[in-house]
Amino acid sequence: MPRLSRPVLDGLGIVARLGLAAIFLVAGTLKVVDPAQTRIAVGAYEMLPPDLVGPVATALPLVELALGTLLVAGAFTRWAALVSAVLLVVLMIGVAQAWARGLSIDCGCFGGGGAVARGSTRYPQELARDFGAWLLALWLVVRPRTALSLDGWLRADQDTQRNRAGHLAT
Amino acid sequence: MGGAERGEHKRKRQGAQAVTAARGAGGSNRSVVAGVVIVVVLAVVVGVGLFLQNRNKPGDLPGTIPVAAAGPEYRVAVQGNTIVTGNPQAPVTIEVFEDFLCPGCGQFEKLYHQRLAQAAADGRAKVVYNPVAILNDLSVPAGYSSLAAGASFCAAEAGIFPRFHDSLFAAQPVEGGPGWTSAQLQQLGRDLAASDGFAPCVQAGADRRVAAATEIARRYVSGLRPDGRFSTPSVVVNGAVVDITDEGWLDKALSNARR
Repeated sequence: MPRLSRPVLDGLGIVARLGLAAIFLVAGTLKVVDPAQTRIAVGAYEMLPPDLVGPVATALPLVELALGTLLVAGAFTRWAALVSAVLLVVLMIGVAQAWARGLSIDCGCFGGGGAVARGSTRYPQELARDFGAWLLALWLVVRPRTALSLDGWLRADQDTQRNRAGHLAT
Repeated sequence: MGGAERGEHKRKRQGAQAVTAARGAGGSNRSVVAGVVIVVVLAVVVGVGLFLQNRNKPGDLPGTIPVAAAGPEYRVAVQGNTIVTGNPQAPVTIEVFEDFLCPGCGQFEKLYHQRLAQAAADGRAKVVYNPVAILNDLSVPAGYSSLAAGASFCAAEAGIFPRFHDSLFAAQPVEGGPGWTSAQLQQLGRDLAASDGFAPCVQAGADRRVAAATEIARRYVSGLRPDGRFSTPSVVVNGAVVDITDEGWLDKALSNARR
């Protein structure tokens, strides 16, 4: 297999980074503007004790927005991607358990959510979409280096300083 | 690109950077700036998110259900899975299908409950209330629709149906928020001087009765509609579904019957 050059890999990285960021920003925004619906969506999974539904419904969109922001900037890319990957696994478990238990819900991934008519669930599509996002996150965990990132900008700065120190020492 | 070449490339780049640094052009505190910017941006994003959530959040319910004002007095009787009010011999029968959580039903009540109550009180109409529960999943915790519908049967049996029903619609909980609790419904009954059986009746719940009533209503109303759908609020006048978005529907119903 031919090794891809660094600019190509960095380019693929930024596609993964911005793609994942867009998913989280859109999902977070749609949830944050309709907190009532988000509570319904979270409650519909029937995974959490009733007292936890509210706090989770409040926190989830904020976490999504924060992750999206970090990813757009390319700041702490590896950590943001790692948290994203874990979050996506949790969300996929939620959808899968709903499917397995025969619940009839919409995942509410991008706003909406809650119970839907029997037969109009879309579990396979929802899981496939989450899995796709998870692959993007995984790429960034393995190779967080991307073009046009804050991380890259800081790395360049550190290199400069290290080099300057080296230069002065000689 | 071979390893040696890559190494060469790297050395050249580092060399170039060293020169830049030596000239004093390199930013020295980029990480501090970046850290501050990221923290500020994150704070703004989360802050705006919290603001939006709070602005759009359903308001908290008060501790007790505000009691609606007394309206005209009319006769109330529970008949099977329906609550029959007004004059049983009236020439016009108005059947109302409502879910206590449905916003459209709240709107319907706001617009028409006074005139419906008046028509029932005057004996001009037989108004049949069909409390149904189709939005159980939309309250947090789920089940307010069934709880309220069941309690409305209890209220009819305890002689407090009109104001109990009006109070629940006047202070209707919002979808996605908490509904009134069983204890709060029982308190409303005490406030309205319900007979002794009311609290235990609400306490016991009537989910099965409400589910049966909902199923019967669904079959009945969807059978009357060309599209075969059932939604709330639905109104059936003398056996035909009426379009309640036509504001004159109630006047027409009452005047047609008079002729």
